[in-house]
Amino acid sequence: MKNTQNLRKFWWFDEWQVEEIESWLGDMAARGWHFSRRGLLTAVFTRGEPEQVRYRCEIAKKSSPDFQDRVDFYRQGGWEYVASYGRLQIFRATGDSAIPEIHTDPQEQAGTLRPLFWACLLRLGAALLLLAAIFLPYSLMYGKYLTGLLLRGSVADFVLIILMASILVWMGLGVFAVFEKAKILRQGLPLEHKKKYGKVLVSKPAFLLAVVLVFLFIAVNLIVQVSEQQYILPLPQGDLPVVRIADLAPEAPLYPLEAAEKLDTLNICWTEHSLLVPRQWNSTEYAGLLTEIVPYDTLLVTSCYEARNNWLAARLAEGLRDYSPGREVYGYDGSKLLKTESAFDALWKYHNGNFYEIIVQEGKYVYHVYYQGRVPADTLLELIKAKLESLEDQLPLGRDGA
Amino acid sequence: MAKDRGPMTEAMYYILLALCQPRHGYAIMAAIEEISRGRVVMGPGTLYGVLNRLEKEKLIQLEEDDGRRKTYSITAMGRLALVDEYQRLTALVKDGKGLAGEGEE
Repeated sequence: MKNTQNLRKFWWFDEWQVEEIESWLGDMAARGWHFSRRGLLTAVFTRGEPEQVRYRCEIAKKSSPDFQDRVDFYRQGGWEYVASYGRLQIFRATGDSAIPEIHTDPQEQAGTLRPLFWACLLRLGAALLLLAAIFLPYSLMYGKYLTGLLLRGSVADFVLIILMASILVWMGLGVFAVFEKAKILRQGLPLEHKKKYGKVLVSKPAFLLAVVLVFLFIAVNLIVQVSEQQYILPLPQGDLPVVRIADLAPEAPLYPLEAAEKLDTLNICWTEHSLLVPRQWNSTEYAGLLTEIVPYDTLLVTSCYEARNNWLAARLAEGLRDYSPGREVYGYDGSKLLKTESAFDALWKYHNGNFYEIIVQEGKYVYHVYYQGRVPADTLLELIKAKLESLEDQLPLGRDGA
Repeated sequence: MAKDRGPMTEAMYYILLALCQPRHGYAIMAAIEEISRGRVVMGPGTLYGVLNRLEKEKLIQLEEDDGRRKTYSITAMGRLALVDEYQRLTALVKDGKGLAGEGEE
């Protein structure tokens, strides 16, 4: 139902953009559109004669018991209450510039800004909390947000960080603006009632549109990620980018173990990928290896990562060293891993009898393995070196275990 | 001695002056304009805010509230504060006079 007497316009301003609001409403009145009330996200204007009208935003709570008092008082002073926007109560005075401003004492007016300042500070705090909440899932899963971001982070994760940063800046701008207004007032200067607002009418909708689009992008990404099938496969007989038990002692026979046949979490492999670590191979292998009189239960839990560059691989290795969920099961923590001099770029080792945890970083590769077995760890390390070299030489095959 | 609250704002000072006699909102504004010979013009927002604060600090009291208008007047403590401020301002002016006298301008 189109009413030619009414015009609806989106309200793009923030609560702290007091001067811009005053300026905009004044300009609209000069064109014959008089602000009459607020809609949900809009301002409603009624048609009238072009007039010089002064609009002023008073910072007060509409729910306060003496609000009606204030309205009556201001009316006596020539100021009519129009509408509210959050903490801002908007008053108008027509043409007669003899009517004094609502606030004639800048020092006193500076005091009225306090609730607005706290509101902006609170919003900034909420944004910080939201940011912390975003960091939480990866931090919990991987001990450090950074490690989680390396291993699982997709484009959406980075976009989310940028989005949060933008929102923080936006909230920060509000706090800063109110602070600056108070500073001006305390110097005895009045606010700039005819402040230019043109930029806001363009930048705000653009920013909000970007936020909405980013949000949609992240949501879609999340849905895709969640619905993405994780292909967990039984270990193939053939070649994998990781060291196999069979490789440890090529001549020795291998015996399947009863426990392994019952559980489906042993003798499996799967792949993952992320933006910064595009190829990730995981496998667990459990079998009896007969190198001496009786077969020895041998375990290899391996993760092999290919990061985009050496620096990222080094960060990943350090992250895994600091925290790895598998370690808790075995009852020790990352501090037990000791850095050792070696032929690799970096090597951390922990051992307890025949049990070893090894983290290797070589170039852009990180090799992380839990090993239990009779074959000496040095043999395993040599095999790892060979595997990484062959990976290095390999043309990208796209072998994801499929 | 009245507690040292630091210098008063102009608004506070003039409102206390105007309320040496019971007055209501709009009349306070008119009285201030008269007392200051048109120099000080008080807006309703400033007046409203200061009145509330002065009442809280017990420098003024509500004489009468007939629903439409509230009439205020100064309290004894308010008079003390006003005199204090007057003396402070006088001292300022006096000290300044001495300096201006020494100048060649």
